Amino acid sequence: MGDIKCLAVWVDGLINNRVSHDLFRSLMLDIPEEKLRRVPKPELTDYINQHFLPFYSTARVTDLTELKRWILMAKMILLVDGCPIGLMLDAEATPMRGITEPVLESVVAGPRDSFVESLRINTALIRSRLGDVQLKSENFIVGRRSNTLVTLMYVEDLANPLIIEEARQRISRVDIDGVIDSSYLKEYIQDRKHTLFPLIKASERPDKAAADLLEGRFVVIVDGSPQILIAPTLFMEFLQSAEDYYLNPLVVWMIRVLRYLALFIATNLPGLYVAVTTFHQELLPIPLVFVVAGARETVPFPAFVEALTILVIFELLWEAGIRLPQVVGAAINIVGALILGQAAVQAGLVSPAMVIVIGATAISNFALGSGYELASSLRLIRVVFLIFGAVLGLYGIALVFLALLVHLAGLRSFGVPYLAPLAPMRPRELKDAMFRAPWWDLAYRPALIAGKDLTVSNTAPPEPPKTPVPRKPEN
Amino acid sequence: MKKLQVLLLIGIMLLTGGCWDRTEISDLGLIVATGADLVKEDGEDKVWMTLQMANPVAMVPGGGGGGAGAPRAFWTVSGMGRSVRTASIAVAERIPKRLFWGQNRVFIVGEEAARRNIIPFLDRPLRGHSTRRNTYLVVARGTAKKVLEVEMPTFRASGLALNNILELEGGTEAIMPVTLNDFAYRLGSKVTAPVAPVVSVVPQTSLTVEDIKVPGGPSPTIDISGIAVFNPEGRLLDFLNKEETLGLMLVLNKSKEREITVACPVKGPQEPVIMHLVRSNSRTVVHMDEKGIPSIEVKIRTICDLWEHFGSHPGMTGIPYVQSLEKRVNTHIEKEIKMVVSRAQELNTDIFGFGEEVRRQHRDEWLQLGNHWSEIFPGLEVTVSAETSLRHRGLTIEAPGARKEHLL
Amino acid sequence: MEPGRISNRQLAFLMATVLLATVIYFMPQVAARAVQQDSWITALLSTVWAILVVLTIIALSRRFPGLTLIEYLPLILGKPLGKLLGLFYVFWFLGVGAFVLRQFAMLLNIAVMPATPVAVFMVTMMVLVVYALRGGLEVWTRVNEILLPIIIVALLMIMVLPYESMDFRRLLPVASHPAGVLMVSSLIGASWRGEIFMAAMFIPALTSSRHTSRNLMLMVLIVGLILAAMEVATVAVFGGVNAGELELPIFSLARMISLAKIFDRLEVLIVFTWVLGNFIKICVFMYCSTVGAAQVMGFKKFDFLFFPIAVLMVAFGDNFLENVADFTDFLTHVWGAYGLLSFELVIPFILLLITLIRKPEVKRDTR
Repeated sequence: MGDIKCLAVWVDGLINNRVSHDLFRSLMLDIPEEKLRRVPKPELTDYINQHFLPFYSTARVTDLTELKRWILMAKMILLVDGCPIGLMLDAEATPMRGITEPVLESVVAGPRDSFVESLRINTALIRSRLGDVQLKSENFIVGRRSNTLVTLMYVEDLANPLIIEEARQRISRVDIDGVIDSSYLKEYIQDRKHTLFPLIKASERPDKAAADLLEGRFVVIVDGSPQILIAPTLFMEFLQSAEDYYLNPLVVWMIRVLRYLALFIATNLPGLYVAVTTFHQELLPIPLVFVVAGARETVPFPAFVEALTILVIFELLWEAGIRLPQVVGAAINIVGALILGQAAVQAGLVSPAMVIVIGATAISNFALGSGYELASSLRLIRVVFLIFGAVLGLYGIALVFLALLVHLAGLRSFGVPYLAPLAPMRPRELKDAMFRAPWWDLAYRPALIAGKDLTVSNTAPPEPPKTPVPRKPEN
Repeated sequence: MKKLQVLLLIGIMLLTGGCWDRTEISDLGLIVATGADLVKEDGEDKVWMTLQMANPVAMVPGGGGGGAGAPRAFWTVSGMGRSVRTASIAVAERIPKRLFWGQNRVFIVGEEAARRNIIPFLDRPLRGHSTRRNTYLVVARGTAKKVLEVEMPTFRASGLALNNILELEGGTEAIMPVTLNDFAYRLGSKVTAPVAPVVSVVPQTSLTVEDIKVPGGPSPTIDISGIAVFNPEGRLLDFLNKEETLGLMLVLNKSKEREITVACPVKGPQEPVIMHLVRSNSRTVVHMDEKGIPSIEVKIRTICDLWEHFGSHPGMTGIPYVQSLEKRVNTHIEKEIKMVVSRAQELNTDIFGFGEEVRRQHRDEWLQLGNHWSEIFPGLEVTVSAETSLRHRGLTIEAPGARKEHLL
Repeated sequence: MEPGRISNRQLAFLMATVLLATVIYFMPQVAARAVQQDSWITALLSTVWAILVVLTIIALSRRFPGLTLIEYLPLILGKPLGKLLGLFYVFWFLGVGAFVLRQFAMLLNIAVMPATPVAVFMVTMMVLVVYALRGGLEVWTRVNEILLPIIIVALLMIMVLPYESMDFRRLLPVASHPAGVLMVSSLIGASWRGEIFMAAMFIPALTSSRHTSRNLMLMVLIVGLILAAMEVATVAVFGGVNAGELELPIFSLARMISLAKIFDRLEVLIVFTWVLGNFIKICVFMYCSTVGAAQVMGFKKFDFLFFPIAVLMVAFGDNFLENVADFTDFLTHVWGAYGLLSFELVIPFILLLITLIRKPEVKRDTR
């Protein structure tokens, strides 16, 4: 630029090459020198910014530490000799994969995009679904060393301002070295130190995020993590799937009943089976007693040990199945199903009934809607049920059930009772939580979560027209 | 962390000291039927308990293996003692499993025990926490032991067979199931006499299929029909035969389906017509005359289908015929009930619950009558009125070729 | 002292569980022994008593807003006498709580697990109760909101499903006992139902006092109907005489269910409802004793009392009634006088009278 010296600073690889190319061309070739000379030196940067960089998002930087941070956060900095202001250019081009189908929360009906590792694209995915001026986002920079950008999004006139303020404070309180994934943040901002249950929902589905924003929740997006955080979260949500809202309500009702059954089986069945066969044998119908007793005759271990063994093997298989590359996955299936299962039963080491019980448990574990997080915490709960069922029979199971309920009822997610709308009971909201009424019947937002505006829709349910639709006379 | 330690402590405490009521299901001697007898031993009355137990290994496919050495699916063991409990414990000493009563379905009392007094035998099954009040109570002709030792060709365990007969065929023909609860209710009422079905061991006659014949001649089998009649104090008085049982079941509303054979209303040969009772409903009405003497009217309404006409003459077409069929059923039912009533009055035991009906319908008079019901009952005037309606005739009208008209 | 806030619905649910938890299980026996087939009438009659209790308690609470029973006792009777009576009330909560704990353990022991020591049930349950209480009033009332529907559905099933063994003619003749006998026998049942007076310990924790008495009364009525229906079912199955001979009529009733081999052996339901209901009931008694004790002694906090009172309750429970005969005797002869005729209805009623006459100065609570 003639005799004016400029300095452009960036980290190689994080910047879009075309941008730097453009910048240099406009600086070196496009700017007429005589015009530049007329501008006083301290305003040079602003001048360049206003006249020659029309296509880039830019910002003025005056602080040196801020400047350094921008460089490390994949921005380009332009400094002009003699000018006390730096110019930040957003020319970010971090390496990134494309938008794919969700992995954990796959559905049959409904949108198929999922979040990626880039915060900008993630906010764009949400914003493209919610074109509301009230949709606000606030940025935070978390992590002393990682300088990760974190965005809090909410719909201002739907969300409860107290909850949003709480979220703001909790996020800005976090002080760690680095936030590599959203789960780092999750453990810092949830309401309880120790709990097995997910108090903040993680999701990779933009449609879910948008729907939850409309219910008055907020969303936290962490740069570099494809899992965004949604809160406040209720326990019932883990038994729901995004797809529930895209299918026929009656079908969904049946599916949800199935999921409650699955929840029951996944937590209770092994414990219940051991309790009934070792404590309360009179509860089984007589043909079943004969079958179970006959099958157990050769098994060398007590039912409890038997159940625990198969459970452990199942957990091992699960773990191995996730970690192994897909090519080897088939081998695991063969070993697990055929060799371990079949051979153990034939050798009389375990009874076929127990294999069926654990098998049903394993299947149910994954039939919980969007509950991968829940499914992984149920693994431990199942064992607790099993132990108490084996020690105190059905009474033990009732005890664990009660303790679990007490624990769950004591949990809160950003102040909202975790078991709502079951407890505290809110009948009006139960029809969304328990069943899923048709859309025209879901006229209200959950009052414990949302702020003032509770009405979702004012549309009357569909009705057949009173007068027949006029038709063109045939022929 | 402290919480976790406490939890761990509780867990360890429970695991080490716990498991008081725990038994593996395969260690249980699963009792499916129980028999109680009274025997004399050294001039002393002893209870002889017979337990029929299942051996589940033999019932699982592939569990016991086939062949001649295959384990038996059921086995029967007996023990002796001063009471029901001590006699059962005597059994426990001789078997490698823990006695388990939770699946007991049938409780059989031997004739001798029932004649002496059945009440002491019922205490344990009613009191025990693992036995159920809806266990079937059966009285055996002879000893209960003999009944339980019968090996049925198809079903193996006579106890379970008994259970199935009572459960599946209760209310058909002369099979009237009675549970411990029913029996206890009647004992508690003080006036209504308890009853129980009777099982007897009979020689097998009709089985001819070679496969299921047991070597060594036809094996005996069990037969349920008839009713054992007790007095309100719990002593067995007598057995009712099949016809009397049928009458009793009609009064007690226990008949679910049965056949009533009446003569064909057409003049000429007396051909049997088999009516199938579909539904019956009885009501007992108590009439009081001015002197305060009660009389009983049993009103029975039944619905029948015509199921068979064993003959070659017409007689099923036309309203008069149907009406006369209905009338014949009515007289049949009335006769049956009168028979059993007079039998009960002979024995002076109110098995119908007439006394209770008097209490329910005329409470004030009952305060006087109740104390000497046993004096009133034998002379009680009982009238029966039956009203039957014929519903269907089945898919045909007359017997094949029975119509006399010629084709035109 | 801020024990947490509960809603009117939660209070009504809480009291419903308290009433349903035990009365259902023992009342049919006690009532049937007294008046045989008319036991269901006593269930309805005792509702009247319970409604009287509700009215008294609500009237008292209206005069002393924001205060619990223990707190306004000294205001009515003067400090020494009020504190003394308060102490008696705390002992009542403790004693009856221990009794409930014992009877809870006893049923499990008789009916389900005879070899397991009674203490095991009592200690494990107490650990759970203390765990729940430490979570706060709000937490366990929320738990109750889930438990009560389960309990009611299970009770309805037990009531309806043995219909095959039912004979409703066993209920005849209706009302054959003189009115006086029925009234006296209703007192025992009413003592259980009168436990609703413990609502007086919770009313200050309510978020709003609208509809409190309506809700409580409705609930008393519903419980009365359920109880009457249960007694009808019991008598229809076992007959009036035998129902009185059963140690645990409802448990026996559940064991009579045998429907098409599918609904078979449903006593599991009973065990579950029993454990669930008694958990809440013991929570309520524990809460009342600790809060009451703290208030009598003027402590601002009560958390630290959980442990000593839990230990006391288990100890009392273990030594309270040595055997089942004592137990039944207590229910038939002592419970009526100990419950309704003193602490539950008569004393609050006298208090109400004194309040109406003397109109004591009410210190406005700043809350």
